Amino acid sequence: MTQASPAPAAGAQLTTTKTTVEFRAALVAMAIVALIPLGVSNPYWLGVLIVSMYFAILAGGWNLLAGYTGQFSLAPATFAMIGAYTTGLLGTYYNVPPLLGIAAAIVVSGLVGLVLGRAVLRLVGPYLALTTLSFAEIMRLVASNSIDITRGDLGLGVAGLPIGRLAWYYLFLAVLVVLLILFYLLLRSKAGLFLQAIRDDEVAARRAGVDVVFWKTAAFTLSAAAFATAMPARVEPVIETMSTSGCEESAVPTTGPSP
Amino acid sequence: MSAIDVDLAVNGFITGLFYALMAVGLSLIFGILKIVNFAHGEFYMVGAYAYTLVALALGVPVWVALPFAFLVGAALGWATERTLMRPLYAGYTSWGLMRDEYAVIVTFGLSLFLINLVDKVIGPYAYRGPPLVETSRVVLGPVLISGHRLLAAGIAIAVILATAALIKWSFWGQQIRAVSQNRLGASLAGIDTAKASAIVFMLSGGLAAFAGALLSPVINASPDVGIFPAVKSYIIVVLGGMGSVPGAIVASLLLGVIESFGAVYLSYQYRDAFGLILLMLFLLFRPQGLFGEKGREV
Repeated sequence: MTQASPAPAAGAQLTTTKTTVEFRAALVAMAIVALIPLGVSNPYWLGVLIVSMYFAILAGGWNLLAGYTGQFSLAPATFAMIGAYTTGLLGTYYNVPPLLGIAAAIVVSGLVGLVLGRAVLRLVGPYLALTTLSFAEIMRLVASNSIDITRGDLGLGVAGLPIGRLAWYYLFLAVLVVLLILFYLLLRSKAGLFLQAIRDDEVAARRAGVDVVFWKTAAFTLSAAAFATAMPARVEPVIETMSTSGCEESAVPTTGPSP
Repeated sequence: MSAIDVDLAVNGFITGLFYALMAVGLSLIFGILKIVNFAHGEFYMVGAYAYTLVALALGVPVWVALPFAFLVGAALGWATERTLMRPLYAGYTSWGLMRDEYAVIVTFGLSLFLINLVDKVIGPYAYRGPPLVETSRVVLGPVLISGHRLLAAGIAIAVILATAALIKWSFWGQQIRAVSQNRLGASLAGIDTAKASAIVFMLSGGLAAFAGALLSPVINASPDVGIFPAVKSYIIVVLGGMGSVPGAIVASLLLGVIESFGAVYLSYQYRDAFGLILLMLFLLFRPQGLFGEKGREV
Protein backbone atom coordinates (compact mmCIF):
# COMPACT_ATOMS: atom_id res chain seq x y z
CA MET A 1 0.00 0.00 0.00
CA THR A 2 2.84 2.34 0.76
CA GLN A 3 4.20 1.54 -2.70
CA ALA A 4 0.94 2.45 -4.37
CA SER A 5 1.53 6.12 -5.03
CA PRO A 6 5.18 6.12 -6.23
CA ALA A 7 4.83 2.96 -8.36
CA PRO A 8 2.84 4.37 -11.31
CA ALA A 9 5.01 7.45 -11.31
CA ALA A 10 8.12 5.29 -11.60
CA GLY A 11 6.55 3.30 -14.40
CA ALA A 12 5.52 6.42 -16.28
CA GLN A 13 8.97 7.85 -15.73
CA LEU A 14 10.56 4.76 -17.28
CA THR A 15 8.56 4.78 -20.53
CA THR A 16 8.82 8.54 -20.92
CA THR A 17 12.54 8.40 -20.44
CA LYS A 18 13.09 5.72 -23.07
CA THR A 19 11.12 7.49 -25.81
CA THR A 20 12.50 10.86 -24.81
CA VAL A 21 16.11 9.70 -24.80
CA GLU A 22 15.65 8.33 -28.30
CA PHE A 23 13.94 11.50 -29.40
CA ARG A 24 16.77 13.64 -28.05
CA ALA A 25 19.35 11.42 -29.72
CA ALA A 26 17.45 11.81 -32.98
CA LEU A 27 17.41 15.60 -32.59
CA VAL A 28 21.16 15.63 -31.96
CA ALA A 29 21.63 13.48 -35.06
CA MET A 30 19.49 15.91 -37.06
CA ALA A 31 21.57 18.83 -35.79
CA ILE A 32 24.71 17.07 -37.01
CA VAL A 33 23.04 16.38 -40.35
CA ALA A 34 22.13 20.07 -40.56
CA LEU A 35 25.80 21.01 -40.15
CA ILE A 36 27.16 18.55 -42.71
CA PRO A 37 26.79 20.87 -45.77
CA LEU A 38 29.20 23.31 -44.07
CA GLY A 39 32.00 20.79 -44.58
CA VAL A 40 30.75 18.72 -47.50
CA SER A 41 29.99 20.41 -50.78
CA ASN A 42 30.32 17.41 -53.08
CA PRO A 43 26.90 17.20 -54.78
CA TYR A 44 27.11 13.42 -54.97
CA TRP A 45 27.36 13.00 -51.21
CA LEU A 46 24.65 15.59 -50.63
CA GLY A 47 22.50 13.56 -53.02
CA VAL A 48 23.20 10.41 -51.04
CA LEU A 49 22.14 12.17 -47.84
CA ILE A 50 18.99 13.51 -49.49
CA VAL A 51 18.01 9.99 -50.52
CA SER A 52 18.81 8.82 -47.00
CA MET A 53 16.42 11.42 -45.61
CA TYR A 54 13.78 10.30 -48.12
CA PHE A 55 14.17 6.80 -46.74
CA ALA A 56 14.04 8.12 -43.19
CA ILE A 57 10.71 9.81 -43.89
CA LEU A 58 9.28 6.58 -45.34
CA ALA A 59 10.74 4.61 -42.44
CA GLY A 60 9.15 6.94 -39.92
CA GLY A 61 5.72 6.55 -41.48
CA TRP A 62 6.13 2.82 -41.87
CA ASN A 63 7.22 2.50 -38.27
CA LEU A 64 4.00 4.14 -37.16
CA LEU A 65 1.99 1.67 -39.24
CA ALA A 66 3.87 -1.61 -38.90
CA GLY A 67 5.95 -0.98 -35.82
CA TYR A 68 3.14 0.39 -33.70
CA THR A 69 -0.01 -1.29 -34.99
CA GLY A 70 1.51 -4.33 -36.66
CA GLN A 71 -0.08 -3.66 -40.06
CA PHE A 72 2.44 -4.83 -42.64
CA SER A 73 1.65 -2.64 -45.61
CA LEU A 74 3.73 -3.00 -48.75
CA ALA A 75 2.42 0.24 -50.24
CA PRO A 76 4.34 3.06 -48.50
CA ALA A 77 6.06 4.24 -51.67
CA THR A 78 2.67 4.26 -53.40
CA PHE A 79 1.46 6.93 -51.01
CA ALA A 80 4.63 8.90 -51.66
CA MET A 81 3.77 8.56 -55.34
CA ILE A 82 0.16 9.64 -54.84
CA GLY A 83 1.42 12.67 -52.96
CA ALA A 84 3.97 13.46 -55.63
CA TYR A 85 1.38 13.25 -58.40
CA THR A 86 -1.07 15.40 -56.46
CA THR A 87 1.47 18.18 -56.23
CA GLY A 88 2.72 17.64 -59.76
CA LEU A 89 -0.71 17.52 -61.41
CA LEU A 90 -2.06 20.50 -59.46
CA GLY A 91 1.03 22.50 -60.40
CA THR A 92 0.96 21.48 -64.05
CA TYR A 93 -2.73 21.93 -64.79
CA TYR A 94 -3.91 24.52 -62.28
CA ASN A 95 -0.71 26.43 -61.51
CA VAL A 96 -1.07 25.70 -57.82
CA PRO A 97 2.07 26.81 -55.97
CA PRO A 98 4.13 23.83 -54.74
CA LEU A 99 3.77 24.55 -51.04
CA LEU A 100 -0.01 24.54 -51.35
CA GLY A 101 0.37 21.48 -53.57
CA ILE A 102 2.30 19.65 -50.87
CA ALA A 103 -0.42 20.46 -48.35
CA ALA A 104 -2.97 19.10 -50.82
CA ALA A 105 -0.78 16.03 -51.34
CA ILE A 106 -0.80 15.29 -47.63
CA VAL A 107 -4.58 15.55 -47.52
CA VAL A 108 -5.18 13.46 -50.65
CA SER A 109 -2.72 10.77 -49.63
CA GLY A 110 -4.22 10.70 -46.16
CA LEU A 111 -7.71 10.26 -47.62
CA VAL A 112 -6.60 7.40 -49.86
CA GLY A 113 -4.91 5.90 -46.82
CA LEU A 114 -8.16 6.27 -44.88
CA VAL A 115 -10.12 4.38 -47.53
CA LEU A 116 -7.51 1.64 -47.95
CA GLY A 117 -6.92 1.35 -44.21
CA ARG A 118 -10.65 1.03 -43.63
CA ALA A 119 -10.93 -1.64 -46.35
CA VAL A 120 -8.09 -3.84 -45.12
CA LEU A 121 -8.97 -3.59 -41.45
CA ARG A 122 -9.67 -7.29 -41.02
CA LEU A 123 -6.74 -8.58 -43.05
CA VAL A 124 -3.63 -9.80 -41.27
CA GLY A 125 -0.18 -11.07 -42.19
CA PRO A 126 0.22 -12.35 -45.73
CA TYR A 127 -3.30 -11.29 -46.76
CA LEU A 128 -2.62 -7.68 -45.83
CA ALA A 129 0.76 -7.81 -47.55
CA LEU A 130 -0.81 -9.15 -50.75
CA THR A 131 -3.69 -6.65 -50.79
CA THR A 132 -1.42 -3.66 -50.30
CA LEU A 133 1.05 -5.06 -52.84
CA SER A 134 -1.69 -5.34 -55.45
CA PHE A 135 -2.92 -1.84 -54.58
CA ALA A 136 0.63 -0.60 -55.18
CA GLU A 137 0.86 -2.41 -58.50
CA ILE A 138 -2.54 -1.11 -59.68
CA MET A 139 -1.56 2.44 -58.79
CA ARG A 140 1.74 2.05 -60.61
CA LEU A 141 -0.06 0.74 -63.70
CA VAL A 142 -2.58 3.58 -63.58
CA ALA A 143 0.17 6.19 -63.22
CA SER A 144 2.37 4.85 -65.98
CA ASN A 145 -0.51 4.11 -68.39
CA SER A 146 -2.44 7.39 -68.09
CA ILE A 147 0.05 8.97 -70.44
CA ASP A 148 -2.21 11.86 -71.51
CA ILE A 149 -2.44 13.08 -67.93
CA THR A 150 0.70 11.96 -66.13
CA ARG A 151 3.12 11.79 -69.07
CA GLY A 152 3.63 8.12 -68.11
CA ASP A 153 7.17 7.05 -67.41
CA LEU A 154 8.56 10.45 -68.43
CA GLY A 155 7.46 11.90 -65.13
CA LEU A 156 6.11 15.32 -64.26
CA GLY A 157 8.10 18.38 -63.37
CA VAL A 158 7.00 20.51 -60.46
CA ALA A 159 7.57 24.16 -61.22
CA GLY A 160 8.50 26.53 -58.45
CA LEU A 161 10.27 24.04 -56.20
CA PRO A 162 13.73 25.03 -55.03
CA ILE A 163 16.54 24.26 -57.41
CA GLY A 164 19.95 23.06 -56.30
CA ARG A 165 21.14 20.35 -53.99
CA LEU A 166 21.52 22.52 -50.92
CA ALA A 167 17.93 23.81 -51.03
CA TRP A 168 16.62 20.26 -51.44
CA TYR A 169 18.84 19.14 -48.61
CA TYR A 170 17.33 21.60 -46.13
CA LEU A 171 13.81 21.05 -47.44
CA PHE A 172 14.10 17.36 -46.70
CA LEU A 173 15.73 18.01 -43.34
CA ALA A 174 12.92 20.37 -42.35
CA VAL A 175 10.27 17.83 -43.33
CA LEU A 176 12.10 15.12 -41.43
CA VAL A 177 12.47 17.18 -38.26
CA VAL A 178 8.83 18.24 -38.30
CA LEU A 179 7.74 14.62 -38.77
CA LEU A 180 10.05 13.51 -35.99
CA ILE A 181 8.54 16.00 -33.56
CA LEU A 182 4.98 15.09 -34.58
CA PHE A 183 5.66 11.36 -34.22
CA TYR A 184 7.25 11.95 -30.83
CA LEU A 185 4.28 13.93 -29.58
CA LEU A 186 1.84 11.32 -30.94
CA LEU A 187 3.65 8.28 -29.60
CA ARG A 188 4.36 9.81 -26.21
CA SER A 189 0.66 10.48 -25.76
CA LYS A 190 -1.97 7.91 -24.90
CA ALA A 191 -2.44 7.23 -28.61
CA GLY A 192 1.02 5.65 -28.70
CA LEU A 193 -0.01 3.22 -25.97
CA PHE A 194 -3.24 2.36 -27.81
CA LEU A 195 -1.31 1.62 -30.98
CA GLN A 196 1.19 -0.61 -29.20
CA ALA A 197 -1.60 -2.42 -27.40
CA ILE A 198 -3.22 -3.20 -30.76
CA ARG A 199 0.04 -4.56 -32.14
CA ASP A 200 0.69 -6.77 -29.12
CA ASP A 201 -2.80 -8.25 -28.90
CA GLU A 202 -5.72 -6.86 -30.80
CA VAL A 203 -8.36 -8.83 -28.95
CA ALA A 204 -6.97 -7.89 -25.55
CA ALA A 205 -6.73 -4.26 -26.60
CA ARG A 206 -10.37 -4.24 -27.66
CA ARG A 207 -11.30 -5.91 -24.40
CA ALA A 208 -9.47 -3.17 -22.52
CA GLY A 209 -11.54 -0.52 -24.27
CA VAL A 210 -9.23 0.58 -27.08
CA ASP A 211 -11.18 1.60 -30.16
CA VAL A 212 -9.29 -0.78 -32.44
CA VAL A 213 -11.09 0.19 -35.65
CA PHE A 214 -10.48 3.89 -35.07
CA TRP A 215 -6.81 3.60 -34.16
CA LYS A 216 -5.87 1.13 -36.87
CA THR A 217 -7.52 3.33 -39.49
CA ALA A 218 -5.95 6.40 -37.94
CA ALA A 219 -2.49 4.84 -38.11
CA PHE A 220 -3.04 3.97 -41.77
CA THR A 221 -4.25 7.49 -42.56
CA LEU A 222 -1.49 9.26 -40.67
CA SER A 223 1.25 7.08 -42.12
CA ALA A 224 -0.14 7.66 -45.62
CA ALA A 225 -0.07 11.40 -44.98
CA ALA A 226 3.49 11.07 -43.67
CA PHE A 227 4.57 9.15 -46.78
CA ALA A 228 3.19 11.98 -48.88
CA THR A 229 5.65 14.40 -47.31
CA ALA A 230 8.43 12.41 -48.93
CA MET A 231 6.91 13.77 -52.11
CA PRO A 232 9.46 16.13 -53.60
CA ALA A 233 11.84 13.19 -53.92
CA ARG A 234 10.80 11.90 -57.28
CA VAL A 235 7.84 12.76 -59.43
CA GLU A 236 7.69 9.64 -61.53
CA PRO A 237 5.89 6.32 -61.21
CA VAL A 238 8.83 4.61 -59.57
CA ILE A 239 7.31 2.65 -56.79
CA GLU A 240 9.23 -0.48 -56.41
CA THR A 241 7.75 -2.65 -53.74
CA MET A 242 9.16 -1.99 -50.36
CA SER A 243 11.56 -4.13 -48.47
CA THR A 244 11.40 -3.79 -44.78
CA SER A 245 13.65 -4.62 -41.92
CA GLY A 246 13.40 -4.33 -38.22
CA CYS A 247 10.13 -4.09 -36.46
CA GLU A 248 9.62 -1.75 -33.61
CA GLU A 249 11.94 1.18 -33.36
CA SER A 250 14.13 0.57 -36.36
CA ALA A 251 11.77 -0.21 -39.21
CA VAL A 252 13.64 0.78 -42.35
CA PRO A 253 11.78 0.46 -45.63
CA THR A 254 13.88 1.05 -48.69
CA THR A 255 12.67 1.45 -52.19
CA GLY A 256 14.17 -1.29 -54.23
CA PRO A 257 16.46 0.16 -56.84
CA SER A 258 15.21 -0.54 -60.33
CA PRO A 259 17.57 -3.08 -61.76
CA MET B 1 -18.23 -17.92 -80.43
CA SER B 2 -16.40 -16.46 -83.32
CA ALA B 3 -13.00 -17.63 -84.49
CA ILE B 4 -11.19 -14.94 -82.55
CA ASP B 5 -12.89 -15.99 -79.34
CA VAL B 6 -11.70 -19.57 -79.78
CA ASP B 7 -8.20 -18.28 -80.42
CA LEU B 8 -8.33 -16.08 -77.32
CA ALA B 9 -9.66 -18.90 -75.17
CA VAL B 10 -6.98 -21.35 -76.28
CA ASN B 11 -4.15 -18.85 -75.88
CA GLY B 12 -5.47 -17.73 -72.51
CA PHE B 13 -5.67 -21.36 -71.43
CA ILE B 14 -2.03 -21.89 -72.43
CA THR B 15 -0.94 -18.77 -70.52
CA GLY B 16 -2.89 -20.18 -67.60
CA LEU B 17 -0.86 -23.39 -67.76
CA PHE B 18 2.36 -21.44 -67.24
CA TYR B 19 0.76 -19.52 -64.38
CA ALA B 20 -0.18 -22.86 -62.85
CA LEU B 21 3.45 -24.02 -62.84
CA MET B 22 4.27 -20.99 -60.71
CA ALA B 23 1.19 -20.97 -58.52
CA VAL B 24 1.18 -24.63 -57.48
CA GLY B 25 4.56 -24.26 -55.76
CA LEU B 26 3.54 -21.05 -54.03
CA SER B 27 0.34 -22.66 -52.86
CA LEU B 28 2.20 -25.67 -51.46
CA ILE B 29 4.55 -23.38 -49.52
CA PHE B 30 1.60 -21.51 -48.10
CA GLY B 31 -0.03 -24.80 -47.15
CA ILE B 32 2.96 -26.10 -45.26
CA LEU B 33 4.44 -22.98 -43.64
CA LYS B 34 1.47 -20.56 -43.81
CA ILE B 35 3.64 -17.90 -45.37
CA VAL B 36 3.78 -16.19 -48.74
CA ASN B 37 7.14 -16.53 -50.45
CA PHE B 38 7.79 -13.09 -51.93
CA ALA B 39 10.95 -14.39 -53.61
CA HIS B 40 8.98 -16.80 -55.78
CA GLY B 41 9.47 -14.71 -58.91
CA GLU B 42 13.21 -14.88 -58.44
CA PHE B 43 13.10 -18.69 -58.60
CA TYR B 44 11.44 -18.16 -61.97
CA MET B 45 14.14 -15.65 -62.98
CA VAL B 46 16.96 -17.99 -61.93
CA GLY B 47 15.39 -20.80 -63.96
CA ALA B 48 15.13 -18.60 -67.03
CA TYR B 49 18.81 -17.67 -66.71
CA ALA B 50 19.93 -21.22 -65.97
CA TYR B 51 18.22 -22.51 -69.13
CA THR B 52 19.26 -19.62 -71.36
CA LEU B 53 22.88 -19.34 -70.29
CA VAL B 54 23.58 -23.07 -70.28
CA ALA B 55 22.01 -23.49 -73.70
CA LEU B 56 23.60 -20.40 -75.27
CA ALA B 57 27.03 -20.23 -73.60
CA LEU B 58 27.80 -23.93 -73.25
CA GLY B 59 25.85 -25.11 -76.27
CA VAL B 60 24.02 -27.75 -74.25
CA PRO B 61 20.94 -29.16 -76.05
CA VAL B 62 17.68 -27.59 -74.91
CA TRP B 63 16.33 -30.94 -73.72
CA VAL B 64 19.20 -31.13 -71.23
CA ALA B 65 19.03 -27.44 -70.29
CA LEU B 66 15.33 -27.69 -69.40
CA PRO B 67 15.69 -30.29 -66.62
CA PHE B 68 18.89 -28.51 -65.57
CA ALA B 69 16.86 -25.34 -64.92
CA PHE B 70 14.50 -27.42 -62.76
CA LEU B 71 17.43 -28.74 -60.75
CA VAL B 72 18.91 -25.27 -60.24
CA GLY B 73 15.54 -23.98 -59.03
CA ALA B 74 15.17 -26.98 -56.72
CA ALA B 75 18.66 -26.39 -55.29
CA LEU B 76 17.86 -22.73 -54.68
CA GLY B 77 14.57 -23.68 -53.04
CA TRP B 78 16.33 -26.16 -50.82
CA ALA B 79 18.99 -23.65 -49.79
CA THR B 80 16.32 -21.04 -49.06
CA GLU B 81 14.41 -23.44 -46.87
CA ARG B 82 17.48 -24.61 -44.97
CA THR B 83 18.85 -21.16 -44.27
CA LEU B 84 15.99 -18.66 -44.18
CA MET B 85 12.87 -20.66 -43.37
CA ARG B 86 14.17 -22.65 -40.42
CA PRO B 87 13.47 -19.93 -37.83
CA LEU B 88 9.78 -20.24 -38.73
CA TYR B 89 9.52 -23.65 -37.13
CA ALA B 90 12.80 -24.38 -35.39
CA GLY B 91 11.20 -23.60 -32.05
CA TYR B 92 12.44 -20.16 -31.12
CA THR B 93 9.41 -18.89 -29.26
CA SER B 94 10.01 -15.23 -30.00
CA TRP B 95 10.15 -15.99 -33.72
CA GLY B 96 6.88 -17.88 -33.62
CA LEU B 97 5.00 -14.76 -32.59
CA MET B 98 6.48 -12.69 -35.39
CA ARG B 99 6.11 -15.32 -38.10
CA ASP B 100 4.23 -13.19 -40.62
CA GLU B 101 6.56 -10.26 -40.19
CA TYR B 102 9.64 -12.41 -40.41
CA ALA B 103 8.44 -14.21 -43.53
CA VAL B 104 7.46 -11.03 -45.36
CA ILE B 105 10.74 -9.31 -44.56
CA VAL B 106 13.07 -12.21 -45.20
CA THR B 107 11.52 -13.30 -48.49
CA PHE B 108 11.29 -9.72 -49.73
CA GLY B 109 14.93 -9.25 -48.82
CA LEU B 110 15.86 -12.42 -50.68
CA SER B 111 13.92 -11.22 -53.71
CA LEU B 112 15.72 -7.85 -53.84
CA PHE B 113 19.04 -9.54 -53.14
CA LEU B 114 18.69 -12.02 -56.00
CA ILE B 115 17.50 -9.37 -58.46
CA ASN B 116 20.42 -7.10 -57.68
CA LEU B 117 22.91 -9.95 -57.54
CA VAL B 118 21.97 -11.10 -61.03
CA ASP B 119 21.94 -7.49 -62.18
CA LYS B 120 25.54 -7.07 -61.03
CA VAL B 121 26.93 -10.51 -61.90
CA ILE B 122 25.26 -11.24 -65.23
CA GLY B 123 24.22 -7.73 -66.17
CA PRO B 124 20.93 -5.97 -66.88
CA TYR B 125 20.70 -7.16 -70.49
CA ALA B 126 17.91 -9.46 -71.56
CA TYR B 127 18.82 -12.85 -73.01
CA ARG B 128 16.44 -14.68 -75.31
CA GLY B 129 16.33 -18.38 -74.59
CA PRO B 130 16.53 -20.80 -77.51
CA PRO B 131 13.11 -22.18 -78.47
CA LEU B 132 12.46 -25.91 -78.18
CA VAL B 133 11.40 -26.15 -81.82
CA GLU B 134 11.98 -23.70 -84.62
CA THR B 135 8.48 -23.93 -86.13
CA SER B 136 7.24 -20.38 -85.97
CA ARG B 137 3.56 -20.98 -86.57
CA VAL B 138 1.12 -23.85 -86.25
CA VAL B 139 -2.45 -23.47 -87.48
CA LEU B 140 -5.08 -25.54 -85.68
CA GLY B 141 -8.44 -24.55 -87.13
CA PRO B 142 -9.05 -20.98 -85.96
CA VAL B 143 -6.10 -21.06 -83.54
CA LEU B 144 -2.74 -19.64 -84.50
CA ILE B 145 0.15 -20.54 -82.24
CA SER B 146 3.94 -20.81 -82.30
CA GLY B 147 5.47 -24.26 -82.29
CA HIS B 148 7.46 -23.57 -79.14
CA ARG B 149 4.40 -22.36 -77.25
CA LEU B 150 2.39 -25.41 -78.25
CA LEU B 151 5.14 -27.81 -77.22
CA ALA B 152 5.80 -25.89 -73.99
CA ALA B 153 2.08 -26.06 -73.19
CA GLY B 154 2.14 -29.83 -73.65
CA ILE B 155 5.14 -30.14 -71.35
CA ALA B 156 3.47 -27.86 -68.80
CA ILE B 157 0.36 -30.06 -68.77
CA ALA B 158 2.49 -33.15 -68.22
CA VAL B 159 4.46 -31.52 -65.39
CA ILE B 160 1.34 -30.18 -63.68
CA LEU B 161 -0.35 -33.59 -63.84
CA ALA B 162 2.80 -35.27 -62.54
CA THR B 163 3.00 -32.79 -59.66
CA ALA B 164 -0.66 -33.25 -58.79
CA ALA B 165 -0.21 -37.04 -58.85
CA LEU B 166 2.90 -36.73 -56.68
CA ILE B 167 1.02 -34.68 -54.09
CA LYS B 168 -2.03 -36.93 -54.22
CA TRP B 169 -0.59 -40.44 -54.25
CA SER B 170 3.10 -40.56 -53.42
CA PHE B 171 4.36 -41.19 -49.91
CA TRP B 172 6.09 -37.80 -49.82
CA GLY B 173 2.96 -36.13 -51.09
CA GLN B 174 0.90 -37.70 -48.34
CA GLN B 175 3.43 -36.48 -45.78
CA ILE B 176 3.27 -32.97 -47.22
CA ARG B 177 -0.51 -32.94 -47.07
CA ALA B 178 -0.45 -34.24 -43.53
CA VAL B 179 1.92 -31.47 -42.43
CA SER B 180 -0.16 -28.79 -44.11
CA GLN B 181 -3.28 -30.06 -42.36
CA ASN B 182 -1.75 -30.13 -38.93
CA ARG B 183 1.91 -29.61 -38.30
CA LEU B 184 1.93 -30.79 -34.70
CA GLY B 185 -0.27 -33.79 -35.42
CA ALA B 186 1.93 -34.82 -38.32
CA SER B 187 5.08 -34.59 -36.24
CA LEU B 188 3.43 -36.66 -33.50
CA ALA B 189 2.64 -39.29 -36.13
CA GLY B 190 6.35 -39.53 -36.92
CA ILE B 191 6.52 -37.35 -40.00
CA ASP B 192 9.72 -35.36 -40.40
CA THR B 193 8.16 -31.90 -40.83
CA ALA B 194 11.51 -30.26 -41.63
CA LYS B 195 12.03 -32.72 -44.45
CA ALA B 196 8.52 -32.13 -45.75
CA SER B 197 9.19 -28.38 -45.81
CA ALA B 198 12.46 -28.94 -47.65
CA ILE B 199 10.72 -31.11 -50.26
CA VAL B 200 8.02 -28.50 -50.76
CA PHE B 201 10.56 -25.75 -51.28
CA MET B 202 12.56 -27.86 -53.72
CA LEU B 203 9.44 -28.71 -55.69
CA SER B 204 8.26 -25.12 -55.62
CA GLY B 205 11.63 -23.68 -56.67
CA GLY B 206 12.01 -26.32 -59.35
CA LEU B 207 8.56 -25.70 -60.83
CA ALA B 208 9.01 -21.93 -60.87
CA ALA B 209 12.43 -22.28 -62.50
CA PHE B 210 10.94 -24.70 -65.02
CA ALA B 211 8.27 -22.15 -65.91
CA GLY B 212 10.99 -19.53 -66.33
CA ALA B 213 12.93 -21.83 -68.64
CA LEU B 214 9.87 -22.72 -70.72
CA LEU B 215 8.93 -19.08 -71.17
CA SER B 216 12.44 -17.68 -71.72
CA PRO B 217 12.13 -17.78 -75.54
CA VAL B 218 8.91 -15.73 -75.22
CA ILE B 219 9.74 -13.46 -72.27
CA ASN B 220 13.49 -12.85 -72.32
CA ALA B 221 15.51 -13.58 -69.20
CA SER B 222 16.40 -10.36 -67.35
CA PRO B 223 16.98 -9.61 -63.65
CA ASP B 224 13.44 -8.38 -63.00
CA VAL B 225 11.64 -10.83 -65.28
CA GLY B 226 10.24 -12.71 -62.28
CA ILE B 227 8.24 -9.84 -60.81
CA PHE B 228 5.13 -10.15 -62.94
CA PRO B 229 4.88 -13.95 -62.94
CA ALA B 230 5.18 -13.75 -59.16
CA VAL B 231 2.45 -11.14 -58.84
CA LYS B 232 0.26 -13.34 -61.04
CA SER B 233 0.85 -16.32 -58.83
CA TYR B 234 -0.02 -14.32 -55.69
CA ILE B 235 -3.30 -13.43 -57.34
CA ILE B 236 -3.88 -17.06 -58.25
CA VAL B 237 -3.23 -18.55 -54.83
CA VAL B 238 -5.70 -16.12 -53.31
CA LEU B 239 -8.33 -16.74 -56.00
CA GLY B 240 -7.92 -20.48 -55.68
CA GLY B 241 -7.75 -20.50 -51.92
CA MET B 242 -4.45 -20.31 -50.09
CA GLY B 243 -2.83 -23.73 -49.88
CA SER B 244 -5.20 -25.52 -52.27
CA VAL B 245 -3.45 -27.17 -55.23
CA PRO B 246 -6.57 -27.88 -57.34
CA GLY B 247 -7.71 -24.32 -56.57
CA ALA B 248 -4.40 -22.95 -57.80
CA ILE B 249 -4.66 -24.86 -61.08
CA VAL B 250 -8.27 -23.83 -61.76
CA ALA B 251 -7.58 -20.20 -60.83
CA SER B 252 -4.50 -20.13 -63.07
CA LEU B 253 -6.47 -21.23 -66.10
CA LEU B 254 -9.28 -18.84 -65.21
CA LEU B 255 -6.89 -15.89 -64.88
CA GLY B 256 -5.16 -16.74 -68.14
CA VAL B 257 -8.47 -16.75 -70.01
CA ILE B 258 -9.79 -13.61 -68.27
CA GLU B 259 -6.63 -11.68 -69.15
CA SER B 260 -6.69 -12.94 -72.69
CA PHE B 261 -10.25 -11.73 -73.27
CA GLY B 262 -9.84 -8.58 -71.18
CA ALA B 263 -6.79 -7.48 -73.15
CA VAL B 264 -8.78 -7.56 -76.36
CA TYR B 265 -12.26 -6.51 -75.26
CA LEU B 266 -11.51 -4.12 -72.37
CA SER B 267 -8.06 -2.58 -72.37
CA TYR B 268 -4.67 -3.79 -73.48
CA GLN B 269 -2.67 -1.42 -71.27
CA TYR B 270 -4.51 -2.50 -68.16
CA ARG B 271 -4.46 -6.26 -68.83
CA ASP B 272 -2.22 -6.78 -65.80
CA ALA B 273 -4.62 -4.87 -63.58
CA PHE B 274 -7.65 -7.19 -64.02
CA GLY B 275 -6.10 -9.88 -61.90
CA LEU B 276 -5.00 -7.39 -59.27
CA ILE B 277 -8.50 -5.98 -59.01
CA LEU B 278 -9.89 -9.52 -58.70
CA LEU B 279 -7.29 -10.18 -56.01
CA MET B 280 -8.35 -7.18 -53.95
CA LEU B 281 -12.04 -8.04 -54.33
CA PHE B 282 -11.44 -11.63 -53.27
CA LEU B 283 -9.30 -10.61 -50.30
CA LEU B 284 -11.92 -8.18 -49.12
CA PHE B 285 -15.04 -10.27 -49.69
CA ARG B 286 -14.05 -13.92 -49.99
CA PRO B 287 -10.60 -14.35 -48.43
CA GLN B 288 -10.89 -18.12 -48.40
CA GLY B 289 -10.84 -18.11 -52.22
CA LEU B 290 -12.68 -20.46 -54.54
CA PHE B 291 -11.58 -23.72 -52.98
CA GLY B 292 -10.05 -22.78 -49.66
CA GLU B 293 -11.55 -23.46 -46.29
CA LYS B 294 -12.68 -20.58 -44.20
CA GLY B 295 -10.12 -19.80 -41.56
CA ARG B 296 -11.03 -18.72 -38.08
CA GLU B 297 -9.24 -16.41 -35.73
CA VAL B 298 -9.48 -17.16 -32.04
